[in-house]
Amino acid sequence: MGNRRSITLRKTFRYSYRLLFWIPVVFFSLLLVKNTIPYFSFSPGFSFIQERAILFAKPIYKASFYIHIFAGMFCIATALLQFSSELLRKRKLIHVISGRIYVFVVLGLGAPTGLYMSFFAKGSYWERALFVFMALYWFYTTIKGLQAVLRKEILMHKIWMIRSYSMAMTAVTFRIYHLLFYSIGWGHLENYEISLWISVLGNILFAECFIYNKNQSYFKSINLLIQKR
Amino acid sequence: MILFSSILMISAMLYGAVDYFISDRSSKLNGLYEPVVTARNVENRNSGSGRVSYANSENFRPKHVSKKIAEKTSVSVRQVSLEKFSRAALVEMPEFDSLETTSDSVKIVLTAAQRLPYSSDEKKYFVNSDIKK
Repeated sequence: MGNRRSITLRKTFRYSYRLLFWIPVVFFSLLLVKNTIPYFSFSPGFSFIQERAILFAKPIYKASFYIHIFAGMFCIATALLQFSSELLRKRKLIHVISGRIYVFVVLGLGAPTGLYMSFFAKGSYWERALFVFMALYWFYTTIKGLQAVLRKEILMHKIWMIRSYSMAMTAVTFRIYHLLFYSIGWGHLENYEISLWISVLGNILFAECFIYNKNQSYFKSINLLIQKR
Repeated sequence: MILFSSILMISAMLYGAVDYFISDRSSKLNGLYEPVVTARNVENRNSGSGRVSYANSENFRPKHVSKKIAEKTSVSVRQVSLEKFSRAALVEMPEFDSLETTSDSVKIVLTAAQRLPYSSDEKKYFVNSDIKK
């Protein structure tokens, strides 16, 4: 009886923990998508565009920007469907289709345009280098995830896709940190730079911890195998 | 898909690098995102005096004025709406409307024609951080 109660308690705790994680993730992801839509009026009145008026005078930068935000919208929206184990069990086709959309928008649209634009990103050379790294890491992890699923290595597919998603989510976490630091009165540029670094490094770290926790038994078995050899 | 996207990535990397390092874009970027003029003691919406903060923007600092002095420079903004003020505007300017330099100060007069459209973020930034009425 006591055992059953502790199991129920553990399940409730796990379920609440998941809700606590996913509710803000879904909310801020959808908010980002919603805030992106007005850009497709192609109006130059947005402060983001005005601040980069010189860059937007160049057609390739302008095209890259619109392709990038278009890809980002689909990437964030489709990725939300990918982590539902229930959806994967009951409606595998949705997982497959949204996964293909995610991979296509990242590899074909989001990462290449992001890489080009990263050379002109706001901040110092370090921030531009960070953006280059982000684009390359996002691309690499998505490719590895795709290759893993093509080879039917499901665990590796999950691991690489978590890493890829962590990079996609920097767009969301950056804005959260930026708002937080803005509310405590940090200066514009230092807020931007610190939010950027924390969101990228924080997301990578979070993803690695998440992967480690989820696959502890798997990693232990690899260690045992190595020791036996 | 992998091959196609890899080609795209390599092209983006090369094109971006060429565009950044070979064209004059990198030098323009120095001034693009930096706050160039911070206004203080604003009397009304159409005029004010303030301080020029060049930060990394070497483009608009007269060569005979050291960076240290330029950072403490006074500026008068006349007949120009501060609401229309934009950091990007200064980058677009080939030269200032009038520039008076002494050994320890620079006075810059800006004209409305040199402004780019007003940016809402900019207003927030100036109002919250710099403009002390």
